[in-house]
Amino acid sequence: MLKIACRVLFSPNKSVRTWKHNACSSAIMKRTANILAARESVHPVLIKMGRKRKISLASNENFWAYVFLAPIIIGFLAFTIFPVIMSFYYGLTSYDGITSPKFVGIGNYIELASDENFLKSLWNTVYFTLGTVPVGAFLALIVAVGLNAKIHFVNLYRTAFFIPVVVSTVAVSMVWQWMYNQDYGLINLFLGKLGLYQPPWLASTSWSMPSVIIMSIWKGLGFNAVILLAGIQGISPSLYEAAEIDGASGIQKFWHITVPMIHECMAFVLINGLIGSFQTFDQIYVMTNGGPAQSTQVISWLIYMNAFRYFKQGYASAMAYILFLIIFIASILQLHLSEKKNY
Amino acid sequence: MNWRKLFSFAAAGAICAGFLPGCTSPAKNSSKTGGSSKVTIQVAVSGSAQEIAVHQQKFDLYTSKHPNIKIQPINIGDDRVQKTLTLISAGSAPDILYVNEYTYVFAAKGVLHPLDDQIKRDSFDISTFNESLLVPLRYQGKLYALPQEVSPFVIYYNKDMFQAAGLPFPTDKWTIDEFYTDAKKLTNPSKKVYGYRQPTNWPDQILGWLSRGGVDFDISGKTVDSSLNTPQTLKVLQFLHTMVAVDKVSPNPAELTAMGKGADVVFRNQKVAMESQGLWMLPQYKAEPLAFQWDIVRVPKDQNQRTKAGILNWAISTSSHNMDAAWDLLKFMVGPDGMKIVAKNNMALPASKDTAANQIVLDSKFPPNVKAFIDSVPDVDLRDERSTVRDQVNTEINDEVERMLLNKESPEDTQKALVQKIDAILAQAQSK
Repeated sequence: MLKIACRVLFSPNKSVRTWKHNACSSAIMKRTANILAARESVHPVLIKMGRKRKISLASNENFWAYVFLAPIIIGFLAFTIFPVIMSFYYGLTSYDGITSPKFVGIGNYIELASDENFLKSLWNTVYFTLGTVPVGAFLALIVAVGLNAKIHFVNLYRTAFFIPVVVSTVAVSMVWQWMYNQDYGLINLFLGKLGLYQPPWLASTSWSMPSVIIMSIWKGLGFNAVILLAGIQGISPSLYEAAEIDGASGIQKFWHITVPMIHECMAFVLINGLIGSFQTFDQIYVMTNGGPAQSTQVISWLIYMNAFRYFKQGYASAMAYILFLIIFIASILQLHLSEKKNY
Repeated sequence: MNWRKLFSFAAAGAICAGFLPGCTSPAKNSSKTGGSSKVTIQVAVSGSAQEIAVHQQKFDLYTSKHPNIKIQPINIGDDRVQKTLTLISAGSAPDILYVNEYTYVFAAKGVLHPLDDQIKRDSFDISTFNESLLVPLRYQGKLYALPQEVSPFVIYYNKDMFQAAGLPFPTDKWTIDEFYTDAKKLTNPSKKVYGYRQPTNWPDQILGWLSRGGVDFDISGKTVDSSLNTPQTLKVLQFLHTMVAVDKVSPNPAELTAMGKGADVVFRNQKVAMESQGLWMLPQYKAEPLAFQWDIVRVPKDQNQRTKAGILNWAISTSSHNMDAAWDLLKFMVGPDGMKIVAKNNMALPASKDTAANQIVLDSKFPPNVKAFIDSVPDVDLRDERSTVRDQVNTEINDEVERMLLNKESPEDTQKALVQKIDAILAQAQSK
């Protein structure tokens, strides 16, 4: 009964829902009217008082709920929803930020399609995201499994992994910049001692993006690991025991139990990482300033420059909307892919 | 009254009020005339704590002479254009704006008030300013700002390194060939020591060489074909390419970016023998003296000895309610009293030819050849600031030349790409 009701109530089919809603509500109303009529005939005064108190108690609670929700809702509407709507409008205009906007329809979007700088930045942003998110999530999973082990000082290790997350991105970027120095940096020093190739890191157009990716993975590792750790700790140990009885090895247990059971946590880590990576700015601009030769120039910088240096806020808004669409579609795809598995 | 209810309302109201700072309200300026009530003038300021303190000195001196005026500095931080645009959109633009290289753009967008009437009415003598500094402050024949400070680029050189290489010290009349020979002799690849640092992400440092090469770079029109599609431009691009990519007399842009903040101290660390800066290094070099003998010299002469400069310009916004009071303050700041304060603080040159102020600079004798700064002012070339798309053009120039300096593009192809891309930007600007 409940299942049917749920399926109907949460049915994607609007007409089904409306019919059921109307049928439901009219049935409920009939029943309530009957009850009230029956009661009234017994104690008219008491019933009236009861009803009033019941109604005012319910609406009283609702009222206070709204009062306390009001600040955050008003803030959200004023500082998030309203700018998002206005930005869509500005994306259809030519607006320099001072004189009034001129409507140009989809002119900005057409221009973007052939803008070399935009396409290059878009590619760089995608490159950065593809390099950081999947690899970062996988490494975080390995670390999470490690942090789940019952060894001494495990809390110390957990803290150690989480520290990079809370340190300022700018500070971290500056330190890594020095580590990446091709002549004096620590990384090349160690590589040299091991007799390995010492890449030019930030001074090369082909190594610059990988350098930024490595640093970004390192910085976000702790955060993702903690989330995945929580997911892993939620897996019932009986599954592992059952697998051990069947003679599964460590790696088999990992691939066939751990990985599938935390797919929701993993979905969150991936989507969160995706959204963050597409909007990345700080570490790139401290470490490489978008160079060398625009090899690390990302969309967020281009949006900023167009809006506040080139006096092209309309164009920048259009860019921001394309970024929004990309992130939105990628997130939906990601959600869809992770929803397929149902246990 | 239910106390819980009252408290809840108050708490909810307080939380709502927390959002209010996010909204700005138009500035309430008292526009009452008459000596008894105070008039408040808002002035946009920016820069380091030391620089803002210098502005405050000017304000304090003015208010001591005009007790009915109150000056409120509005710090627009480092993101000056963004903050100024925000204040203008909110309708709370300060009376006096800190416009610098954006004077032409803001004038073109109707943000600034022309000053010609006031100048005429008060018989304010603008011949005290070098014409070279007033060039970018005019839009359609009207003057929109007045210069306070100028910081011409000169060459700082390491005397010890010159002596060690057996080279004579450069003089203010030296040529570009002498400069290049010296730089080459001072370069020592095995020790990673360079003769000169050609900075990256600083388009003016490219435009300076173009100007000296006889290129009249002008982006106020529809095309740069006549100025950039010339043999002079190609010669300058080839010079830069040879210096950075071929002879490696300077670190290349990638190496400089990878150094991060380290690139700013290569002169101090004696990794480069020469570099191009304005006066802003002087306070640092005074507070933390360099470990070697050094001096400055004018930029080397090519077809001419033009140079670029940092500049501070004040303008009055169209939304000001106190035009007359703001103009009076502006006049004072760029007048002899204001210029003397600038000169005393040794962080920039006074922008006027005021002899008393300039004498203070000369008397400082820091560095020994400090007159090179003053001599450079008439040769300052700011003509490229007459444009509404300067930032966009500068980014293209920087990116294109960077590719050339990283040996990814020949000087000829760079020249073609520059003309094509800048013309595209100018065409867009024209169509709006």
